[in-house]
Formats: sequence, C-alpha cells, structure tokens
Amino acid sequence: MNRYSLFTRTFILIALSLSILSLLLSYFYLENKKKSLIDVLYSKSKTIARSITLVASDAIITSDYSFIVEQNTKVINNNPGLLYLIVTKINDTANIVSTKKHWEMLDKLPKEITALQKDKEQAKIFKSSIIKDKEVYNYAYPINFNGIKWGWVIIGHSMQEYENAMQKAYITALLLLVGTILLSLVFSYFLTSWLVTPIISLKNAAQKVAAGDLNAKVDITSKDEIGTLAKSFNEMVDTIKESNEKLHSYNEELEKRVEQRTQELNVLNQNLDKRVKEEVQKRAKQEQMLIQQSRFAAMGEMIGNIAHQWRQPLNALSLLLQNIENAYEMDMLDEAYIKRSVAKGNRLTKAMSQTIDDFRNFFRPNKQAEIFSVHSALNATMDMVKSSFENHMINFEQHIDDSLCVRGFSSEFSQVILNILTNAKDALIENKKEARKITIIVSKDENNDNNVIISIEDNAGGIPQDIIQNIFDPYFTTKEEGKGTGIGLYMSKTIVETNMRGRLSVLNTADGAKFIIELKRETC
Amino acid sequence: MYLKLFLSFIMVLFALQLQARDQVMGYLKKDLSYFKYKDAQIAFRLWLDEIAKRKGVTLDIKYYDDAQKALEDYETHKLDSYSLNAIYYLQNMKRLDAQTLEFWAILKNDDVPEKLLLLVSNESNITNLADLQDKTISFKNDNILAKLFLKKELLQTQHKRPKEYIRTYHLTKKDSTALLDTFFKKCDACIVPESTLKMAAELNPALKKKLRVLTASPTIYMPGLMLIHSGTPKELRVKLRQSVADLDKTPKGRNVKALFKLRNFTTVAPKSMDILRSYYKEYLKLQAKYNHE
Repeated sequence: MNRYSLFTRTFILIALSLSILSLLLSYFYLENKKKSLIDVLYSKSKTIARSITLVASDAIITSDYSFIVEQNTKVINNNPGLLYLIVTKINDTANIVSTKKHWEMLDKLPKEITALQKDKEQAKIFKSSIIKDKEVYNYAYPINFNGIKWGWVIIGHSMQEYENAMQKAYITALLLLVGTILLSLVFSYFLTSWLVTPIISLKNAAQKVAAGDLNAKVDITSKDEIGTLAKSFNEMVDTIKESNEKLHSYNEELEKRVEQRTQELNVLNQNLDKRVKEEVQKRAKQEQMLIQQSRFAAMGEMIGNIAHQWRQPLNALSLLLQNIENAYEMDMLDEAYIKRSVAKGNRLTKAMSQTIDDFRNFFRPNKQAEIFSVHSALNATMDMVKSSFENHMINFEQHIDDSLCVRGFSSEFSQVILNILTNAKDALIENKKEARKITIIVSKDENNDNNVIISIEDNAGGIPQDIIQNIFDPYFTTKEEGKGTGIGLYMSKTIVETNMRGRLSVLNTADGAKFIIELKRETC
Repeated sequence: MYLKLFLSFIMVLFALQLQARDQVMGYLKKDLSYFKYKDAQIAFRLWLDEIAKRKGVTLDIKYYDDAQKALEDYETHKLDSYSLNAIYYLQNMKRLDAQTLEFWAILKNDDVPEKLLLLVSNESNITNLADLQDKTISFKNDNILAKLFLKKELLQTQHKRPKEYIRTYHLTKKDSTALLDTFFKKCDACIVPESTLKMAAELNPALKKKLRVLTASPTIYMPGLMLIHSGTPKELRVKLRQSVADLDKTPKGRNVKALFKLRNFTTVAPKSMDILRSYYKEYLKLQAKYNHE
C-alpha cells in the first residue's frame, strides 16, 4: 500500500479523528471524575465540620478544650480519611490541632491554614506544614452561633482515596482509550475501504486508460456520486476512444501534409541562403549610400564654406582689377604698379588655391589609421568653417591642450567635429539672437590620464529632453525638410565609437548642449 | 430392686437435667460505665452467638442493677460468671472468693491491674497531698477505686476524709477527660490509670511536661472484673478461654472487642488479686483508725 495513497490518508484521517475524539472523551471523563471526587471530599469535610460544630458548640463557646481535644480525637479516629482537624477560636491563641497520632496547642497556625479563615467556607488542596510532603484537601468551616462568629473548624482530608480513585480512573481511561483506538482503527479500516475502494477502482481504470488501454471500464453501479462518476468515466473513456480513432486518422492525414510541407520547406530553405546574401549585400550597399549621402551633405556644407572663404579674395581681386582700371584712367598705371598688382593677385589666387587644397584633403579619406594631433585636426576644421561662423557672429572660445594625440583617421575625426559644429551653428542661428558662442575644450580625462576628452558646448538653449536620446539615431532630424538628412550625428557616433573605439555622448548644460568625445590618448 | 433401679435412673436423669441447664453470665451494670450499657449488651450478644456457633455452648446473660441480688445468684451458682466493678468485689470479697475459681479482667494494655496516678499541673502550687486542700479533683465517674485511692492517701497523710479536705470531685465520662481537664487547668488534679497518661502523652508529649505525678497507687486498678464460678465446668471455662482467644478471627469477634474497647481478656494473677485485697484491707484499717465511715 502506498504510504501517501488515498486509502492511507483517508484511513489516517478517520482513525486520527476517532482517536482524538476518544482522547477528548477520556479527558472529559477524567476531568468529571476529578470534579466528582473533589465534590465527595467537599461533602465529607463539610459534614464532619458541621457535626463537630454542632457537638462541640458549647465547648467552643466555653473554651472547654478537653472536650474539643477528645471530640477531635474521636472524629479523627472514626474517619480514616482525616489527616488533621483544627479547631481555632477567634481572639484566642489556643489553636487545637489534632492528627491521628497526636494533638497539640499551637499559638499560631501556619500561614497557608490561616489563609483559609474567611467569612465563608473555603476549600483548597495544598501541602501544609502540619502534614509534610503530602497533598491535603483542606476545608475551613466558619463557626457561627446566633450570628456571632466564633472561629473555624479546619479539616485536612487525605487525598489518598482521591488519588487511588484517580489512578483507577486513569487506568480505566487508558484501557478505554486503547480499546477505543483499536476499535476505531478497525472501524476506520472498514469505513475507509467502503469509501475508497470505488475511488481506487476508478484510479486503476484511469491508470489503464492512461497506459493506453481504452477498453478499461469501471464496474460500479451505485446510485451515489461515485456511481455517477463511474458512469461518466466510462462514457468519457468511450468518447476518448472515439476521439482517439478520429485523431489517429487526422494524424495520418497530418503526417502526409507535414511531409508535403517539409518538401516545400526544403526547397525554400535552399533559396534562403541566397536571399540572405542578397539582403546583406543590399544592406551594405545602403550603408555605402548612407555614407555617400553623408559625404554629399558635408560636401554641400563645404561648398558653402568655400564660397565664404573665396568671397573675400574674390572681392579683393575685384577691387584690384578696379584699381588697375582706375590707375590706367588716371594714368597711374606703370610697371611697378602692375607688378605690385600682379603680385597681389597671385597671392589672392594662391590663397584661394590653398583653400581648395584644404577642402580636397578634408574629403580625401585616410587609407590607414594614424596618430594625429587633436589640436591640429581641430585647427584645420576651424579654419574651414571659421569665416562662415564669423559671418553668423558666432564666437569661439578655445581651451586646447596642444600636446594631446589620438589614433584614427583625421579626416573622419574632422568630419565629426564639422558635424557637431554645423549643428551648433544651426541651433545658435535658430535660437540665439546675440552673444552666440561655442566653447571647445580639449584636455586629459581627470579620472583617467590615458584618455582625451574633447567637449564642444554651445549656448543655444540645449536639446529638448524628450528627443535627446534619439539624436544619434539614423535619419533623425529636427530640421526643416531639405535642410537636414538626419545622418550626421549617426555617422559621427559610428566614426568615434566603431572606427576610433571612443565614445560620443551629449548632455544639456545650463546654457545649451554639450557634446563630449572620449578617445584613448596616444603619444604624439 | 427394679424400683431402686428406676429411682436411681430417675435421679440420674434429674441430675443430668440440672447439669444441662443453660450457662448464665451475670453483669452488674452499676458503676461499669467504662462500657456503655448498650454497647455491652450488643457485645455480649455477639460474643454469646459466636460461642454458641463455634463452640456449641449455649450461654445466656443476665443484667443486674442490684449488687446484692447478683451476689446471691452467684453464691447459689445461678451464674457461671459475674462481671462487676472491682469495688463491689472488694466490698464482698470473702463471699465472692469462696465461690470463685478464676478472676478475669479486661486487658487494655500490657499491665492488669495497673497503677492509679494522682496528677497535678506543673504550673500549680501543689507540691504534696497537703496542698490538695480546697482543690477540685477530677476522675472518671465509675472509677470508685480512684476515690478509694484518694481517701486512703488523705487518711494516711492528712488523717482526713476527702469530704473534709477536697472542695469537690469533678466526675468525667472518660479518664482522658479528667486528665485533659487538669492539663487545661479546669481542675487542680486528677486521678487516672497509668495507661491513660501514657496514651495521652503519646498523642501530645507536652502533657508529660506539664503534668506531674503527685502520688501513685500500687497496681490495683482494673476497669472491670469477671469472676468465674468454681462450679463452672472445666470444658466451659476452656471454651470460654478459647472463644476469647478466637475473637480476632471473626468479624463478629472483632466487633465484640471494639465494643468492649479491649485488647483482650486475661486471667488476673492471684498475686495481683492479693495486692488489691491487701490494699483494700489497709484502707479499711485506716478508716477504722480515724473513725471514718
């Protein structure tokens, strides 16, 4: 039999319940027995005390101690259960204490005895100093004659009879308990069998069904819930059997379909590799296009900047030509003047040519990573955009440590700087009417001496908090359509973090936005 | 010849008829309050039933109020035994001794007879018999021997009768009461058998410290005396003795002992009886000497 089977649990439950019931009955029986025995002691003691009071009333009043002593001796000898008798009189130091073996006059009674001397009768079980080492039933009966309180009769009754009776009661209760428990075990067994056997039959049938035997049936014909359950079970098994057969046929059909699908999938699978490669290539192409777009955008920016760069030399050339014309009209055009003007024009065209060289270098991608000076790269970029920024009254504040170098592609780095500066310029133009300022700081990382920190901060009011997390996403822009591609910062982050193994982040300061580039420091 | 034989046969039958009468025990109720009369009646009834049942002897008992009538019946052997207060034996000892074969007494303790003690409280100022003047003496109401003892002591030492010397007698129902009355100073002195003091002192040793023996009698006190008539058949005496010995063996027997408040019946040694007799004779002499009643 399984230890945790339903039968075991039901059997334990019923047996335990009956045993607890038996235990409770035994407990109440013993409690009742105790009470009735105490009641008997009380009645006996009261009867004795009253008889002593009646017989010795004159003696108590007249303090006839001889009589009281003899009366006590007689009573105590005639009542085997009495251990001691005390007659005490109010305002009298003579307390007559009689036991089976002796009597004595005590000036003072023990405390536990005097505690019983109340206006009403008292009864208490305790060990008194009169009979030591023995529990005694003490009963104090106040002596009243004609409404006057004279004293007390105190009786010490042996608990032996009580203890013997209780011992018998305990044995009886124990035997009853053992008998009842044994009977309850037998009864529990049969009751459990009666209750659980149909369920076990159901369980066995269910196990057979679970094992695949759908011909298993439960033979229970009773009209109760178990009978209904058995009937339902049989019906359920029939239904399962029917369903199983249907399922079998469905399964066969399904297997055929699966086989067909598998073949189709195999074909598809063979094409999948090809499609993945195609998708990867497409993606790479898109990336390339993106970069190209970025370059074009930067190029557009650059062309604007070249235009700014060239405006001044072009004006100077125009003035030079106009001066030559004026000089000729004023007959001041001589050889020296022409030489000076040619030299001046050559300088101007050389400067313009230099500008073109600078921009060509900027757009020419470095083929190999190299160690470059952050200060030089920043200066080259600043030179390109300076006139454009000045045109928009944007001032630069620079704190650059020119001893710091990093490894990477300087043109890409310049592109990053240019992107950040261009965004700052646009923001300043849009949000700031005066005192437009960009602060550039290049320094060692305070926390890590091996890192270089490049921070570019504007005072354009900062980036709205709800979009600051998205500004590095591709195609994310807040500019009007046609003015921004949304790939500048995405490309910048890719260049810093992927190509240069650094970190590009942004935060809002009190006045505006602050872009921070962290790169590993290299020896120049 | 045949007539003689017939007459002889008739005489033998008559003699046997006389011999076959019921055995009778006499009991003088007077001054035997040691046993409650009712208790004594029950005890005798039970005892006689036991004897009849176990020994096959039919006994009867006759209770007397008149000592003289009882004496006469005993003298004429209408009684096989006679239970009485020892004082009535002493008063008629010549006549009773003439008919008596054995003396039985109730055995309350190891000694029968025992001493009578004149006890006073240690806290009293009584140091000798002279100090008893105008005092109250307590003793059991049927203890006539105690009174005799007091009389004799006073005659001997003070040459006076108690009536002239003692204020009053305080008679109690029990010897122990007399003793406790003295202990509790309800009386000035008491006369009790020595066994009473022993028993009382066992119950409360303080008694011995508080009470003092002023004087003691010789071993004269017996709570009751049973005289066995010399005409009582030996077989009956043996059966009586066996019956007493068997009292402990049956519930009835134990009841008898409880009712008589006795440990046993015992034969009083002749020497003890002699002490009692001579003591009484001395008393009579003193009484005569000082011309008292």
